[in-house]
Amino acid sequence: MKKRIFVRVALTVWVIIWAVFLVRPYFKKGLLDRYISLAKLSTEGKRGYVTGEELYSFIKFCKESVKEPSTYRIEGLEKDSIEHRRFKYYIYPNIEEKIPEYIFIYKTKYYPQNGYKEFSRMNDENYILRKMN
Amino acid sequence: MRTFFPAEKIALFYCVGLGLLTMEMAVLSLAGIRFSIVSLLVCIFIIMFVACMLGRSRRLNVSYGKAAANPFSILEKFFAGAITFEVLYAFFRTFIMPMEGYDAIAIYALKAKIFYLAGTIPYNFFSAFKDVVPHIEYPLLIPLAEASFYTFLGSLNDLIVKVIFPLYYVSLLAVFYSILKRFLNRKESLLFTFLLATIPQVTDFATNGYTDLPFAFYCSSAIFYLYLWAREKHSPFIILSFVLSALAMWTKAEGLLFALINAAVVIICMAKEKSLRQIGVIYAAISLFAVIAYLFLLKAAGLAVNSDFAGEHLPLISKIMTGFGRIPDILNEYQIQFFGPKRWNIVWMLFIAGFILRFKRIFLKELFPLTVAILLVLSGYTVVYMLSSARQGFGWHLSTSGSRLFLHFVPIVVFWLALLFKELKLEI
Repeated sequence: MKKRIFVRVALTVWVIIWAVFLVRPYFKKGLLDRYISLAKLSTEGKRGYVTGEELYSFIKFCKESVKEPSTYRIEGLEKDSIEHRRFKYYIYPNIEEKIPEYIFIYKTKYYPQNGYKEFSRMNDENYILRKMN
Repeated sequence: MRTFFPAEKIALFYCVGLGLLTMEMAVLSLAGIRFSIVSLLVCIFIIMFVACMLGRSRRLNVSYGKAAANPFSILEKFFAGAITFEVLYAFFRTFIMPMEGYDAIAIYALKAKIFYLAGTIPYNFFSAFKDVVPHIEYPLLIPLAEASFYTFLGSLNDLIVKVIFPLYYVSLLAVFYSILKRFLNRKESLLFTFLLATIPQVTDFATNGYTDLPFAFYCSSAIFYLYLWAREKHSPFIILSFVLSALAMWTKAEGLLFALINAAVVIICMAKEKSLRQIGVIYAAISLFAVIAYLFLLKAAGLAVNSDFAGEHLPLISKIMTGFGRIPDILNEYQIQFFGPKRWNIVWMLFIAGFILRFKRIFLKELFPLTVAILLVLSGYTVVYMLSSARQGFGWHLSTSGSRLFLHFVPIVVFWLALLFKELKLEI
């Protein structure tokens, strides 16, 4: 009898903890709102939502503007940050290099760079420079 | 002779089949043959043919007892309902969100994209792509599995490809339940499958695109079947254990450690029973050979087992001395994990309680191989932390990987708890 009580108490504690940590993110992190927003979106929209709309639009702009595969450098994203990694993933087969064909400028108004000229512009802060021949 | 249950077979065919398919992709790349539906189907047809042959074999079938026909009790309905809920919830979480985790995107998804767009593993992948993908040296099972999905889909879809991961979760539960059914009744088997299915860390990694849950499947299942072999001495179990162990190495570098641990468990068990079995010796020898061959190939390719740890070149004695100084920090991280219900519920607390309160029993025949395996994994990971020379610092390595390393063998711990439950004649 004692053994059965021990097992049932342990199981009850387990179930309570399970339920609490299952439900908690819905209240603490607004998971329900997040899921509702995501459920309404297309696959492309979901990628934008997760990546951040502005960054994802810029990635699409860069992909559409340059001829693949080419080499690039990205300015305006912290190296090795999750945003930088996502950029590298989505922009592939274009490959990052130190002296590239293109420089993608993100969220930076003024970025002078010798040997490069403006190639394409999305808006004031987001644009592409291309190496001069 | 009992061997495999139907659900267990399906789960094994998915996980072993996918693993073998990725190995075939590596061979195709070496042979200069591009990935295509036709070239990949060759392997799938072979796997299906072998699966059908094995499926027909009487040696590999389990006969169901009458218990299977008994109606479910309320508690059983609760366990089955909760497991079903967690499985459906895992699929929901998978498909609601594209790849977003750091490693999932930066390492595995990017490698998969490279392989899919190239239609092969580029011949200069390990040298030319070093600066493109971090951890170029990581094993390729998951990136190639993703690339195979893209090949069949005919396009890149980083949402649908995530289905790989909850399928590993379902497979883990199916194999785990089937293993338990050999030792416990249906209610008890459902109870422990419920415990495994509802560990938050397990469910989180069933959807996030990391390799840790597939790895947990391979290395835990390798131990489960090794345990069955140790009890029943039925050769299909040890052969399957070796295949799973090899696939663990093909999934994550930690598989090297598990291969050595499996070999050690076989040797220790045979020594304890004082019965030397040829197949056990062969298993241990091939495992050791596989680890040495893997390390040799890495060295030949100019790669480290983990590039994070290749930065510091200290003499071994200095590393060991530094390592002892790290033990308090390592133990502190372990206690954070053990007593953190947010990730683990109370699984580690139950393990510690069982370990301390029933210390003598856990080294008796029934639990001995699993106790040894768990202690060796814990010791192995502790030594890895002691010798770690991660560029980002030891603290970073410990805090970012600790919870994932515990995930790798938590199914073995739940299995251990189930057997302890039986050993102590507990009831629910």
